Amino acid sequence: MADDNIKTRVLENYARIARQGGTCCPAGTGDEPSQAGARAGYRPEQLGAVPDQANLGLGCGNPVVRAGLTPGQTVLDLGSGPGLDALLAAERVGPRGQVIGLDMTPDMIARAEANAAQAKAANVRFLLADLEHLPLPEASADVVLSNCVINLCPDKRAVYREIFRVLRPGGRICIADVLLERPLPESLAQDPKAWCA
Amino acid sequence: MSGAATPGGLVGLLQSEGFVDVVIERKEQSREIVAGFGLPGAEEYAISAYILARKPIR
Repeated sequence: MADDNIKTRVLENYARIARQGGTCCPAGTGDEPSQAGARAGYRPEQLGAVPDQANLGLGCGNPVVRAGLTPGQTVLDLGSGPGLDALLAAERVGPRGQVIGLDMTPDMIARAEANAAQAKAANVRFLLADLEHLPLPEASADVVLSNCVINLCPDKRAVYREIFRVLRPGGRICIADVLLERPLPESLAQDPKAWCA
Repeated sequence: MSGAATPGGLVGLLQSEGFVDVVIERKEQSREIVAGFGLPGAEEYAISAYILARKPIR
């Protein structure tokens, strides 16, 4: 599938999810976001600390916990969706720190901003951005997080090059993502749903 | 997931961009997570992992 087609399909899929709810995955899995969240590694008390609408069950890990964030850090969340990880990170870095969530879907940005307002999180903001062109200065972040998003990006090298640029020397990445240990069979590889999940 | 990288390919990509201490850490519940995507059999091919790395100080 051509790169532009992949981006368009991903954008449309996540805009639909932002407006209507549901998960990234095909209907019929029987999952609620809370079940998907638990499977990805979120504890109930974590999910209970953020607005319900912040968890759409879109992740494949819990990078906030794995990253070992500390107070005062500047954290980026690439593909921040409805803001779950950004809000959890904001709690960890505290009022001296800040979190910037970036997403290419306007509907997700709107949803994340509403969730941040509901959570009264003053140290988090959201920017509309293409992950291959981050609208941030170089050496401005201590930690870059992402959760099940970069596998959807056609140009991964461009994304990681941008991450490297915006990280401060000594800065770290903690990215939960899907990787392929073996090539997918053609029937699965060409399934349109597999380009969005 | 159709466009996902391979673990080895991603390590090489990160190192070539300048990252150090690159670690791919497969999640314990990887199979369950991928099976939850609702794409039958995908868990035989794909994994859920943490990608950890650092930008060198100089």
